Amino acid sequence: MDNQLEALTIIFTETYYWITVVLMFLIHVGFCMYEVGASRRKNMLHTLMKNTMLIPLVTVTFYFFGWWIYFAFQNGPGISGGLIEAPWATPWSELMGAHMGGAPVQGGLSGADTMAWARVNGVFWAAFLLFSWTAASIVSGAVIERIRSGAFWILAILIGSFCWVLDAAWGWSENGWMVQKLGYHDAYASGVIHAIAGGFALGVLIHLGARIGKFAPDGTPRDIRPHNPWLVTVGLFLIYTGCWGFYVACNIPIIDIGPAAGMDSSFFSTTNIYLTPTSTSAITFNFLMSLSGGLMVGYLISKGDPFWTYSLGLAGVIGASAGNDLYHPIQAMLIGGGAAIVAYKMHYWVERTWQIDDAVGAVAVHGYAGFYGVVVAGFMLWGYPSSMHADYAAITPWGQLAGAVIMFFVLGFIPGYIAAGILKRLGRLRVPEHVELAGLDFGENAETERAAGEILVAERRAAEKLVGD
Amino acid sequence: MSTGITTWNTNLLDIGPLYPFVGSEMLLVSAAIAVWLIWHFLQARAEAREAAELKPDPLHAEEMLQALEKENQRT
Repeated sequence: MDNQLEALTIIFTETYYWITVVLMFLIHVGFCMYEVGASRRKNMLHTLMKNTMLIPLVTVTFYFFGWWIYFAFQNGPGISGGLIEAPWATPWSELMGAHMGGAPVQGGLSGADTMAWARVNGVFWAAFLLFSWTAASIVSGAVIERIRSGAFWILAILIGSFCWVLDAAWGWSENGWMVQKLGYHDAYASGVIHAIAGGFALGVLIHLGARIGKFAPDGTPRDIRPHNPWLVTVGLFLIYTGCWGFYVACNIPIIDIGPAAGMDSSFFSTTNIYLTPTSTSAITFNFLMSLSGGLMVGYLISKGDPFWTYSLGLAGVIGASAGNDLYHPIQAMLIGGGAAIVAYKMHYWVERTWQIDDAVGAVAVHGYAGFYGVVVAGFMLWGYPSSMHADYAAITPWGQLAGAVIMFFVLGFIPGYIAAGILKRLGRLRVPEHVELAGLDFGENAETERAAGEILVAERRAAEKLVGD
Repeated sequence: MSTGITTWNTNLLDIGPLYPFVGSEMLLVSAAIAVWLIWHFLQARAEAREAAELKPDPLHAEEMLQALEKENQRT
């Protein structure tokens, strides 16, 4: 880089995504705290390690094939074109490592590829990867206290390094076929992260079954309370914090969109992932207002229950996210409030009707609120262009409805249901009943019980001695 | 002998990959994929062994639950 302005733009972009990654790391910290707090004491360590170890497993598989899928599968393939070559994203590419942007050493890469990707490939890859962790972590919360770790990690790789990446290629890229043909618009991932992960979790839960004692013989659900509500709420606060990183990671911080708009001059702006204009201010307004809508409605509808109030604040953000690049802040607030109602009512209706044990309400907060968010954006943004390309479809209610169905059911529910079904058939999905009874931390629990017994005996002897004296 | 870069006193615009052993990428990827798959195999084996070691003993489990419940009440 021998031009200072160009260098500033590139290195600013590189640093910008790096910061989003650090912020998004907090989402995972929050999910871990939340899940551990929501589980019972006998399952805490298993719950923690189940979610922690998805980090390396999704990371390496996203390096092996996830990043390449994002670029290669934008046409389907076979829907709007063929498989796209993406030599900068294959795991053996020289651009998947430290690179200064000089002429390529490997065949298949051009000088333009190295100039474009040398500085931003790693941070852009990581920003997407952190979305992958989030998708897998959403599923993790729903299945606590009875899934085998090994089974969960296979499912985590499936949703984190394949299903969500495929949906991003289709509906969360400038040239994805869903954008071209359906006018799909989902700027902050109501569908591409939340609906798909919620749908996937629901598919898994059907095969996994409920925790022992969750439902009375007549099917009435019993409330298994979090062992540490404080940990749950701090976890959700951290998820809110990480969402700031999530939101800005969905944007391109600075790019010249003048030529794409047909202008004779440059027009530098922040854009969403579709390269259509928005601003960081716009999404800041809307993030906070949709969070507020969700929290206010959540508090009322749950009668001040902390677990649900916090969760429905998140549902508020998720419900407005599809269009939060363009909404008015008060529209975002009202849509966020609506998402809280949808998530809360749907959770209990599904739980009662089908005895689905979603331990943390993940299917509701992410799946149903995400689905709702995508559909609502179709009405609110009806007729808006989905892209800078004039020949791509505009945003419509039916395009968004089709998109929501693809996200929740086609790429979420169906793969989750099939994969969990295979694991169940192999006897690998759920821990044996005696392990569930003893607690998934059974090794540690046995030690605790032994120590507690010994302490009890020692205390009894000390008390007897005191009385004897 | 050199594993990669030999001098920084050059035209920096010409520098591409910075990591050592350029050309070994395919080998590295193959090794990493093998490590990943072996990890799953070892983990699944260990998980099955641990679960089998805990004998299905409802009475023991009940005692355990009671002890844990008492412990919860105390805290």
